[in-house]
Amino acid sequence: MVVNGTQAFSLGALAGGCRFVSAYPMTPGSPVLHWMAAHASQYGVAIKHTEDEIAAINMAIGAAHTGARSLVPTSGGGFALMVEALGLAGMTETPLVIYNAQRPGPSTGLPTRQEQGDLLFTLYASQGEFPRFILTPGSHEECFTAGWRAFNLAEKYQTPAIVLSDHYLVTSVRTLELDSANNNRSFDFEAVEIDRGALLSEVELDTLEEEYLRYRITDSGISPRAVPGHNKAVYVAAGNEHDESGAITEEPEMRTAQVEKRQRKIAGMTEEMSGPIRYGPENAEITFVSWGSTYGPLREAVDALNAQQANQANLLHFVNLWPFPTEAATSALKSAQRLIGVEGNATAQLATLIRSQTGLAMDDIILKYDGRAFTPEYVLCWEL
Amino acid sequence: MLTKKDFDGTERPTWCSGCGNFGILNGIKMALAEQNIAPHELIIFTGIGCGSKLPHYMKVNGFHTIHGRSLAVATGARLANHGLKVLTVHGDGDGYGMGMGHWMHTVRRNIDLVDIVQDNRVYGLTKGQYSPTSDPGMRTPTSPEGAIDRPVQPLSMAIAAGATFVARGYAGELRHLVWLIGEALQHKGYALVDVLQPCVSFNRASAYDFYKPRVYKLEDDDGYDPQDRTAAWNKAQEWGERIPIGIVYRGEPIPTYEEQVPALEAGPLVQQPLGKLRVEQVEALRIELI
Repeated sequence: MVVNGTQAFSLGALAGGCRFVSAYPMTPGSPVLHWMAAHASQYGVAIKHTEDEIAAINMAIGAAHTGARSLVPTSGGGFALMVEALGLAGMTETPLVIYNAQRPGPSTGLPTRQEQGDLLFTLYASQGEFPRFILTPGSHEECFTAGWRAFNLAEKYQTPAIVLSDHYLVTSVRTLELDSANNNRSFDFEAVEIDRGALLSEVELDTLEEEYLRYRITDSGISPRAVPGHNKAVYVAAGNEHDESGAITEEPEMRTAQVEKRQRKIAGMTEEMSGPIRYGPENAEITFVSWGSTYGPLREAVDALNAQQANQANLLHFVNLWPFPTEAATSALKSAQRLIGVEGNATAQLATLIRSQTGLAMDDIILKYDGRAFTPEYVLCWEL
Repeated sequence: MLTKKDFDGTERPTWCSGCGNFGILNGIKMALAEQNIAPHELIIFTGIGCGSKLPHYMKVNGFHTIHGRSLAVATGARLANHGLKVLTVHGDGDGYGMGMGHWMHTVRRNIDLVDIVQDNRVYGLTKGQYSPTSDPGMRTPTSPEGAIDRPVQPLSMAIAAGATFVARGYAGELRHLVWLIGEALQHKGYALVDVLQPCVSFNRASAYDFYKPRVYKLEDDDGYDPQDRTAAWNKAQEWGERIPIGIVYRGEPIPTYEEQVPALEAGPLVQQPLGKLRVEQVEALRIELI
C-alpha cells in the first residue's frame, strides 16, 4: 500500500478508538481532520471544524470529559493558541490527544515547509506544572502506533498526550507491505489495544459503596474516573485547585497533596517510555541521535557510511521523549563513542533536553533550519 | 418528584451578601426541580468569574472551565453525549467579552443548551473594571475618565445570529426567572437567558434600586408577540427608563447541530461500543491505500 504520514497517524488513531476530532485548519495539521471527516460517518466519529484553535481544544476537553476519546490535530501556531486549555486538561486530569504537525516558526514562519522547532515549547507549554506525554514518531509505522498508543497513555494516566509530527513526515509517501505478519513492516492492527485505565464502568458505579471522589489521593496518582451521567458519581471538575471531591480549595496541605498526586503519575508514565531505538551496529565510531522525522534520512546515512567502512556509524532514535526515559537513554548514550545530535532546528532542542535529563552532552551537532527536510547527503557532506 | 433541596450543595458561596448570584443559583435549582431534571442528568459548564463558581454551590455535575470558553467545552460535551442536559453559566465579561466569538458560533450552530448569563455589567471577581455591557461613561479602575466603548447588545446579537429563544431575566424577580429558565430548558436548541444581576460591591449604580422601578414583564404586555422577530429586534434595543424582562423572542425550533451529525444518529457517542476495528473494517481501510 501507498501511505503518507497523515494517513498513518489517522489510521492508528481510528484503530485506537478516536471518536471525536475538533480542529481549525492549519497546514500541515489539517489533513488529519480531512481524513477523519472523510471516515467520520462510516466509523462513528464526530468531527468539528471549529471557529478557532481555542474552541477546538476546549471542545475536545468537553468531549473527553464526557467520555469520548478525543483528538485535536493542529500545527505550532494553533498549538500556541491552545496552551491555556492544555493546562485545563492537565489540572482537571482530562485525557486528550493533541497532534502537532510542526512547521517553521515563529509566527507564520514558512507555512508549507519543514522544521522540528516545537519540542521544548510543547514540553513546557502552560503556566504551572502537570505531567504530559510527548511522542515523536519518525516513520510511518511509528505514526500508526503513536496514533492508538497516545489514546491509551492519555486515558490511563488521565493527562494530555502530545504527538509531534512535522511537515516532512506528514507529506512523505511510502510503499509498505500489506501483510502485517511481515516483520511488522506494515501497520499492525492486530497489536492495537484499547486500555481505558481507571475508567469506572456502569456496573462498578452501580455497586460503589463509598462516596465517589474524582480526585482521590492514591499511591499511583491515578484516581478512578467516572464520566458524568451516573447518580453515584455527581461531581464538579475545576481548573481551580481542588480537593479530592473536586471542590475549590486554597488550603496549603490540599494544594500540596494534589500537586504531588498529579506528579506521582510520572513514575508510571516513565515506565511506559522505552529508550531510544538503535539502528545499525551495536558499536560504531559515530552515533547519531535523532527524534521524529530525521529518522529516515539518518538511517540512509548510516547505511551509506557502513557500506563505505563497517561499524562507522549507528543511530539512536527517540520516539518516547516525555517523560524522558532517563535510565535507558543514559545507558544507550554512554555506550556510544562519539555522539552527533541531528535536529531540524537552530538550538538543538533534543540535545538540550538530553543534557538536562542525563548530564550527557553531544560531541557534535548537525542542525538545519532552512525550511527544508534533512537528506542523507546533507548529513554525509558534514565533516564527520 | 424533585425539590430544590435535591440540588443543595455543602459549600458556602463566597459571594457578597446581596449579590444577584444568589437569586440565579436559586432560580436554577428551582427550575431544574420543576422540570424534573436530576443532578446526574445534566452538567453545568461555567467559565471564570464570581458567578462561575455556581456549580460548586450545588449538587450537580459541573465543569468550572477557563475564562470565556465554557460554550466551547459544552459544545464538545453535547457532541460526545447528547443524552446529557447541558447548561452554561457565566458572566458578561466571560461570555460577551473573552468568549464572544464562541458565543456567536454556538448560537448559529444551534447547540442544544441553555446559556445563562450573569449580566452584572461589571467585572466583579477582578474588582470592578468596566465590562462589555457597562454603560458608556462608567468610571472604573480601567476607565478612570469614563468608559468609551459602546455596550454589547446581547439580545439583539443573539437574534441576529439566529437564536430561536432569547430571554432576559432579573435576579430580583425569582419566580419569573424560574419560569424563564424552565421555558429555556424545554426549548429545543440554543436558548439564551441573560439575567440582570445586581453587583452590590462593584456596580452599585446598576443594583436593585436601579432595576426595580425600570423592569417590566413582557408577558404583561398583551400587544407583544415574542414570535415576531422584527418586534423582538426592536424590543431587544429597549433600555433606559423601561427595561423589558421575559421572553423577547421565541421562534419556531429549528434542527439542532447535534441532530444533524451523522455519527450521532446511532445514539450518544459515548454510549456506542468502543472496541478494536473489525477485520472487514481493517480490510476496507487497507484497500483504500492500494
